[in-house]
Amino acid sequence: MTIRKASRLLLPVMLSAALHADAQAANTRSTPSDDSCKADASWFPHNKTAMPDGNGFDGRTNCAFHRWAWQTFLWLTKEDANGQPVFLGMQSPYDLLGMKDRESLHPVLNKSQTAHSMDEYLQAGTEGIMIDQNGRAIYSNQYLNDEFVTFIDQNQLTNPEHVQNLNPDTEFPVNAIELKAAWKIVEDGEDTSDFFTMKSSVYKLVNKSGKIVVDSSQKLDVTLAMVGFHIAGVVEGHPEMIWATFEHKDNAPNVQPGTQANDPVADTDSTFYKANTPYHACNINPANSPVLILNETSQTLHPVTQVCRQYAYGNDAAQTNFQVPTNIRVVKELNASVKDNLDKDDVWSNYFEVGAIWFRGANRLKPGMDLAEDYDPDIPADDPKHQLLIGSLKLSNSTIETFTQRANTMDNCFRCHNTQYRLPPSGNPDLQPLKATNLNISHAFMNIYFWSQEQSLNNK
Amino acid sequence: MTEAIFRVHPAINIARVGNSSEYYIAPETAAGEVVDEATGLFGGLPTRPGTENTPITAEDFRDAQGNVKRQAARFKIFAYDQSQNSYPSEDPGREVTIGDIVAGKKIKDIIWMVHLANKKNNNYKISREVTNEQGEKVFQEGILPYENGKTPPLRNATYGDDLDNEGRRRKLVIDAGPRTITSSTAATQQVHFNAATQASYIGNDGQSQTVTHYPVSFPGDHFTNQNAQKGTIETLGELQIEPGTGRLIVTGGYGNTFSFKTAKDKAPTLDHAIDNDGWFDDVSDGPINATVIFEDGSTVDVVGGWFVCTDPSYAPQTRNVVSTWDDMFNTWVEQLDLIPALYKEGEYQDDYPASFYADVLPVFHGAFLQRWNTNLPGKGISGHNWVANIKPADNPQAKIPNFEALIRNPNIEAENSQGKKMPLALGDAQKSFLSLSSTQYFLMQQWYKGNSNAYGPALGEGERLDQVVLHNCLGGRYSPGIDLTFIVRDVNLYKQDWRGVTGPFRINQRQLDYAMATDAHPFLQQGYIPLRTTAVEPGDLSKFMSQPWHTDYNSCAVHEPSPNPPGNNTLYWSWPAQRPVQVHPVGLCTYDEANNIWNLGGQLFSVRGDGEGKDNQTHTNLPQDEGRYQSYQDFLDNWHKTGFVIQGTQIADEYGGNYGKDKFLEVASLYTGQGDIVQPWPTAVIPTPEKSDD
Repeated sequence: MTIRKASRLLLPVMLSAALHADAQAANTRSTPSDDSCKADASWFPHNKTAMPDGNGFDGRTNCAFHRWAWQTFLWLTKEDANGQPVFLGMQSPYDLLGMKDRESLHPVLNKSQTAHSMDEYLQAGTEGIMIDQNGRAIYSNQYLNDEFVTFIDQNQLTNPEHVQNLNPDTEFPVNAIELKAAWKIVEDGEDTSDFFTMKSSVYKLVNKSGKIVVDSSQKLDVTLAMVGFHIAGVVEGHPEMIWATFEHKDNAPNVQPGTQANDPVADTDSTFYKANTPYHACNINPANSPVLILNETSQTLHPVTQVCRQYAYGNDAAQTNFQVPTNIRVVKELNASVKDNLDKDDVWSNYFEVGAIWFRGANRLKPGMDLAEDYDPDIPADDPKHQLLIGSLKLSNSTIETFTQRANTMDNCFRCHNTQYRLPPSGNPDLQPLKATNLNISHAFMNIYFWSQEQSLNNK
Repeated sequence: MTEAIFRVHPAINIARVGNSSEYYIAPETAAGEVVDEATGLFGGLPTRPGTENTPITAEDFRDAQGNVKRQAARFKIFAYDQSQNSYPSEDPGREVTIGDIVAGKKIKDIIWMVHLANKKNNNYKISREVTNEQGEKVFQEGILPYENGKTPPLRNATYGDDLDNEGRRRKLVIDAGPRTITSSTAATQQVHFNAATQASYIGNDGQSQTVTHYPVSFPGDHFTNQNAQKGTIETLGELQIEPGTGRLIVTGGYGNTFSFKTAKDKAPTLDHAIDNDGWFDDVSDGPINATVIFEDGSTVDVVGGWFVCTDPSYAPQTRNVVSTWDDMFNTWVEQLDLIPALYKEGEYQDDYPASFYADVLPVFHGAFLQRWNTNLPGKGISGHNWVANIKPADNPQAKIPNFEALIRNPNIEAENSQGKKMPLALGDAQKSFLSLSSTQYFLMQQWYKGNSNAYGPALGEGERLDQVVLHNCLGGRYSPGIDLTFIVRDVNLYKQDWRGVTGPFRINQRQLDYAMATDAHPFLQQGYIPLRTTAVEPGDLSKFMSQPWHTDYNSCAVHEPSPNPPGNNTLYWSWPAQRPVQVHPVGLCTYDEANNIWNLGGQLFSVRGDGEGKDNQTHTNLPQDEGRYQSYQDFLDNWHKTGFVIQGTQIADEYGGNYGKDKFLEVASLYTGQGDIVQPWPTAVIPTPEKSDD
């Protein structure tokens, strides 16, 4: 898309369109159905959307999971008493450890290397920096809801010893939620009227020690536009969490099945794609290449990332098993239904659910699962329980997992969010590894464990 | 006759081709082993010629003209006073040379005899196509095609369908014949393996004899070179004596090729990764024999070794997680009763303690060093750094919460296709992913269970040389490999009655009667065939390698596994230690003047060509084709431009220091292009019906 000149970027936290109370819910149904997945009337108007209660969750349909995702999205993005979206009032993992830099998005080069890296511009897994068409880095940050925070606090899981003594079977409680949002820096003159935007600040990027890092002494005031939103939460029977992701509608084109390396992916611009860019030039990650250049003065990076969404709705359209066709259809139907029910001026109507992924069947999470496959290799293929993952089996957010959309080793949330043990990401031999527990499904939990150890070492 | 036993060490030594007449000495320390705690220097570096053990520096890879120096193999003779009954030997032995007294007799001289040949073109193809149970055509490689009395199809089938066919043996074998040299020979004298140099051998009287009519054979004797403008093959190398020591120095070929038409006058093509009919290269192999002459006129035969010449080593300090040594050792442990305390009656012994430094840390250091030849992402690097930091006093289970979840179990077939576990590299023939040898895995398990010591049984110096040479060679993935291949796992390759005089790891060399040589007939026979008992001739080890070596080296950057597990599209490295794919060039490092240290720069492909964009012959739009020339012929023309990866301590900077022990950087690359962008792993295949480019 072409971002048009903005006229309303004045408030510290601003919704670009008023949320209204007139839901168009006449055709919605209250019972989830994979035959016709519709939004529920109770979600509207958007300023009244309630948090879905994961207790008593009925997971018999795919639609139910996607409805949970959409209702949660609507709840998180409705205005709270302070006039800002609910999620902005939530705590970050920083808060649990009493760390600073709560107000700024705080990107650092080597994510998880230090205790100050929760706000970041490096993508998980490959340290890639997504660079928008203006040459600016995409930033992201995380939030935890009260249920998540309370669980951590009550179990004193910011104390490494308590984690080490934890029963590995311990699960996150129903309704615990963690979030990750991706933000684009809005340039002067850009029209962001169909984005959710907010005033915020980031630290300047600088070239140091052969790397691109942040200079925490130089804060930049910026306006940020949300471009991607991860929502992961627990419902009854699904301690693995439902992992859902949302994007702005104009982020990137979908790669059509059968696209060849030299074929253009689309003949029109998107926010993060230049028209007629060939497929082979999409999602290139120069993280360790000398071609990656930062201009400190302009705060721009080169080369621009031409973003393509590898799998529309988080699935390979050619796959016919594991209920993939059903899931693609359900997500499409539900997206359309929600859009029909949101006010056209509601800025959040410009976002859509890419997809969601979870375990097929209830209560299958256990410590030590690597989740490298969509199925359980220990269960015969003709057993219904052979299939382990369900929903959007190739789910990535094109702005958060830009560079890992295609490789099967990282092509959905569970490839990295699993319950295997973890070695200290910093490689610091003075830290203790994290044993295999069900809570390892959350990287926020994992980071808290290692950061709390680093804090203890620093305090000695 | 003295009662002492003399043996050549290393039992097998590795030379490497280069396009320079100059050379350095093959490494006598093991990659992945810290050999100097003070500087942090890792082993695996070749030795400067004329020195005992001075490791080379970044300046030593090329000569003054910029040509790649060859790696020479240095052989020594050790004397043992006792017969060997165990491994390690009860008698550690000692190196001997002219003037030394052994069993009361003074050594007057040593005659060395070496016979080099290249039999690649008169051998079987590496692959055999078969139909599997699903009715699909699949390729078998490794030893499998030799099982049940079968063999793969022949290379150069138009020249006859029998490897013993005299016409084939005459034309398709490069046979330089035997050469001798004495330890008392002047260091400036070289004995060439070319047609102009008289063949000679050690006669029954222990003296050097000439072979007047040896049927020396070079390709130009039989064929018109189809690529004459790119060089030819007129020698397989040289012999010389190391100044002051009497040791034997053997140099190999120059990286040249020679191509020829089929017997049906069809021009050769160069379009296959490993089997290209009509192409010679100038690698070789053959026995190293010697006779010790005493001042009293008596002589004694030395237990021989074996010389192998192969590809250049572009990253000599990067240890293969599974090395040739690991495969050979595994075979000797499990099939030849090498260490009964470790393995007997078909079972590993639970009470056998592992050695942390000999059995465990090499695996972790192998993993730790992979980052310098690959595009491992930060998570992989930090994990490898973690295991490399483990100390012998650490509780293994506190450092690695779940051993079985970390390391692929070679004894469980299903794990062959599980990419999540370590090692993170492509597997052996018919296996998707690489596994440790079963001996390695057992010893790692012993350590994890708490049954280990810091150090293992001490090796004699000769035994240490046997081991470290092969530590520096590729193991685990023999399709076919770089230095040696699957034949190291075949007991028929070796002299199996090792107790007593012979000692372990000796090639079962055929006793050749050179007095019978005549130029009317080719001298060498078909030779060794895997899983058969035929003794081993010159050329019988290297003949199982790629024909020519260049195509396999170029091809083996990144690939999908074979067989490719369902749903996999991720690309993995073929031989990440031995064949660098992505490297950190020294020129991309930046100097931090405030702290007097060098910062690591970015990565480029090791094989990256000249020119930019579409003008660069390595350019591709397909991740699966990255890091190589898109035409094999272009690599043939440019292989010598590839740079070398070496530890920062060996790279002098302009500030009077070096680049630091914490980095292993590419130096001496002659490529002028930057190549395509290196992206962090994982990269994935872009499906395509055919190669695609702009």
